[in-house]
Amino acid sequence: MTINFTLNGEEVSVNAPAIERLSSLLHDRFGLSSVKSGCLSGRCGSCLVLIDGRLANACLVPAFKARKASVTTFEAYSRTPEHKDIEKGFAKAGVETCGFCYAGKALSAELIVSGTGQIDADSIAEGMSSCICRCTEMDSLIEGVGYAMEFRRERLYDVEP
Amino acid sequence: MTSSPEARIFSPAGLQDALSVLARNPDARLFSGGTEILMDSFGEPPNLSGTIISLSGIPELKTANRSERYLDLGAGMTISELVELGDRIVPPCVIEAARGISRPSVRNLATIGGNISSRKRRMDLYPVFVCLDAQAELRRENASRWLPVSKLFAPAPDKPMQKDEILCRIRLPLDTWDIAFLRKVGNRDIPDETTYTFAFLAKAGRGVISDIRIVFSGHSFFRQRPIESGIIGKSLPLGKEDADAILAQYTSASAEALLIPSARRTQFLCMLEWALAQLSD
Repeated sequence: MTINFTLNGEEVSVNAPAIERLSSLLHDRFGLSSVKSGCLSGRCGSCLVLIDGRLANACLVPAFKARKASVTTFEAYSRTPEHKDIEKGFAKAGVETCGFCYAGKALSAELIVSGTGQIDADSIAEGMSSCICRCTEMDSLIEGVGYAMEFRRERLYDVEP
Repeated sequence: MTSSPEARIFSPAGLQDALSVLARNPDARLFSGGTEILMDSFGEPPNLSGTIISLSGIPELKTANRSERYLDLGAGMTISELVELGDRIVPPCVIEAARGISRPSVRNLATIGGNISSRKRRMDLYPVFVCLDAQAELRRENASRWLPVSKLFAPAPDKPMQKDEILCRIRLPLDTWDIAFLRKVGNRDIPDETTYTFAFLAKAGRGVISDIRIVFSGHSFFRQRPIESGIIGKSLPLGKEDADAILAQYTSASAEALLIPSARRTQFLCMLEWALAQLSD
């Protein structure tokens, strides 16, 4: 089956079995190592990507469902100024990840920081819950997301943190 | 339509197309969010074969409409989209149940229809919809019908959901409930036979309990309408004798619900005792 979709801003086309998991397709065929096949059941968050702007477990998406979708992986996101805000916020809070989960945590944090809903510790914890790796305790992550929001405001609106 | 050796995929752009394809392929598997199908396929490749009809591109299944008396939700709406409608549009107990489903990334994929169509995981939205007397619109190519959500898996004479029908909408009556208590127990990450949702809804009017719904649902479904009927009409605040008698009735009834693990039965009774205490205050 031919799967046509937008991957990290580029139109791509790949021949793949219709039911191949998107996580495998991205990792094996496109070499996107940030997308990992961990639990293959939507629990661990090691395969988190953005699909049409929404955080999603790529292991729960068959290839045929990715047609015409816009998929963004950490590789593209890491090159954006938005990621710098997250990076700085995590660093200021002393967040050090194992590396395996950083992509999922960064993407999760981005959606919290760029969202419009009410932000408090509980909503941040909920937003970060898609990635279950406990290499970093939740309090540090919450603090890191908070700092990232300040850095985002400073960058966009030239406001002192 | 496209093919792989394992699966033949149809991706209709509209509901009528989907119904036509399903009529010609009555054994086809309907695929909406697909989270349960892929979650249950721990290895590669996913447990998908034969003819598959993808419902994810059908706009008619993703609309929400609210009138004075009802809220209609498209079965193809994701759980996240349901939550984002907010509790000014959606009954708060439904929002609460939806928020308890898995994690944000899964809720962005999972759909309302998928959540209540699972025979082995009747938790989260299913018990709440049953409590609210929700109706499900089922359509086949030239016919449609409404069925209470509580009868989706009923025995054959009650005409449960059939293989050649698509679940299109869920209609929620917009009644106001004075007390709504939900609690999910068991394994939340991957719901299994120990995961259950406790739903307790009650209405009060003129100093009496005017309506009450008590459901405990997961791998199996537990509800005792005769006991509920006996509670209706009791004065508020609920006296200790009445509360103890209700608890005794449910203790006896739940002991016969052999599919519910004993630990969950104990939790059910504890939560029920607490919920009844709210009627005693």
